Amino acid sequence: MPVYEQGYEVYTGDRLPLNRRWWPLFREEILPYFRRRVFVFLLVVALLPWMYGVALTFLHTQLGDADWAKDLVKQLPVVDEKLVAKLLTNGYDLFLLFIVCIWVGSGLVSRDRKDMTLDVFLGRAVSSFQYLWAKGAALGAFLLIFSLLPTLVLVIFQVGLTGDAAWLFSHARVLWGTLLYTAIGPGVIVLFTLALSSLARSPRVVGLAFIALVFFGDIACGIVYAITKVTSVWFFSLSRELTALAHLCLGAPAPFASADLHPALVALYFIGLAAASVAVLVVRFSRRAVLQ
Amino acid sequence: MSVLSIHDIRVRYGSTEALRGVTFDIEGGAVGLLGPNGAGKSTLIKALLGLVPLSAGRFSLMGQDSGSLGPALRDRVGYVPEREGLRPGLSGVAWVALLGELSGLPRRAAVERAHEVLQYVGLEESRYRNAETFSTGMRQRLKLAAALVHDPALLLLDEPTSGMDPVGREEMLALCQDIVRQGKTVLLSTHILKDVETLCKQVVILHRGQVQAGVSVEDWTHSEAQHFLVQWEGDGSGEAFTAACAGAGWAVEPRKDGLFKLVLPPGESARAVFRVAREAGGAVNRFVREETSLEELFLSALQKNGDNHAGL
Repeated sequence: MPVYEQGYEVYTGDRLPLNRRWWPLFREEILPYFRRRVFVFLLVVALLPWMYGVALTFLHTQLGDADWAKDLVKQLPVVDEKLVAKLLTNGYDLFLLFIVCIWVGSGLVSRDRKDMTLDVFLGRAVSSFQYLWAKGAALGAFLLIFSLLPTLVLVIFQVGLTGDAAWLFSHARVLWGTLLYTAIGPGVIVLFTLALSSLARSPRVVGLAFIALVFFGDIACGIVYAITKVTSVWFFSLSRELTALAHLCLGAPAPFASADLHPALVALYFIGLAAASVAVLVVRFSRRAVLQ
Repeated sequence: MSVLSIHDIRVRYGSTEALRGVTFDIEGGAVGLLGPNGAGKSTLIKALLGLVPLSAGRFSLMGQDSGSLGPALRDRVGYVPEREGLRPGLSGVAWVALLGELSGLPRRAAVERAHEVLQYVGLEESRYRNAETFSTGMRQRLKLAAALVHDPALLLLDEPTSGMDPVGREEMLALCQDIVRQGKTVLLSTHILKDVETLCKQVVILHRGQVQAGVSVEDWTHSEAQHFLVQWEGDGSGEAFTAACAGAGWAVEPRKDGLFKLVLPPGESARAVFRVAREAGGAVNRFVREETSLEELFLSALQKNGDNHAGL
């Protein structure tokens, strides 16, 4: 029997509006990672430093008034903007954040180019902006685990354990500062990774380029600083800039003394990185060079 | 009203102009897009999908201008790419459903529709297998299913039978014929002239980014087919028959074993051949009407341009 005798059915159902077409791409980008145990384990261990914050919250709220423990608790750091800034930018979590960027971000666009599915996606009623939005949102969602999400959990613990919102009002900057940091820091990293991913056809090449620019960039800054003692070199270190940004957003003093990490320079760094990334994406997608 | 109307489309890659003022209309049915490598066939299809920017020109689909439709235009178009275009790790049904969702079908409807079209293209047994384990023929069918999932009015097929065995090719063409019977319009870009002859009623020949010819395949292969292979037997050599044919104003070309290839002008009756054969002192023993192949049309279109056809 010829296959076509099974009959063609005409579709008469509904169609979703154009502005909702990015969602399936976002979902398909995210879901496979939750099936990878090593990746899920990595996300869980990224939360370990925050357990320290939760433990401090518990001790201050539950044992702060106990006669036998109050002297000990008083010596512990309090949960405030300074502690949250430190937790947001601890070296362990920054390292894992970059690993997630490489793991998820390197293939965002390049894998579609390698599999030749990019023109299949863009040949549908999906605009380049929606495509990039879906891909960026997928990486951004994972980066929330390193920024906004644990801060929210910490705030919920704090408010829940004390039973009133007084702490939240007196430390409102913890919330809006983290929100600002997340929008600027991980936000720009998402743009940067997307731009890098659109430049190559191989996720491996993108991953190596990311490693070269971020990890080896830090190492190179360290070596140049060790030789010249010129602090200006730290301007080019992404991890340093993220640390400075988090402390600026949360109103905490930076853990390193460097006049070269002035707020205006930090702003210049992130604005420059964002502008360069957007320029790459606009050129690659508007001229369709990414499809060749 | 034309299903697809293309007017003076130009596409430029740097200093190279890949499409140089392409203009033609498609009323419906299946239309073949022929041309040697680098003629601009794939570029034209990509330009219609917005995958390469137009440097000039416009086109309309179902009477609606491409500019006014924007991305929504692509909900009415299905595309089978020449290149691989499959996501490894996804089953056939998951891939087709994903593309259905991108074309605006709600999740549940997209999955149901994916099952339907996979059954239609004959992949119902393999729909849960990962697409990367599919054979070439299965991949081509999967791409066709993905192009059909949102029930488009126009299908752009870029080399859909490429790499398929003869049986698979026939089945694919049968599917395409059925799709045309469903009222869909198909633009078939291919190197395989036989596929165009089998499927298409019209053909557009593209060369160096320009339309060289646009004709009806039926008109060419039947109505104008005044080509005959004749075996003449008579007194003496065949020179008398050759001279008689030339005298009647026909093109004649002697072949071996008393065979002659005759080209009669349109409207000339075949009976005249028997009359001329008698007048030349012999008789016709064998008389075969030859259909002119699309290949001849294709080659003549290229030769008009004074070009070779090494890319074919």
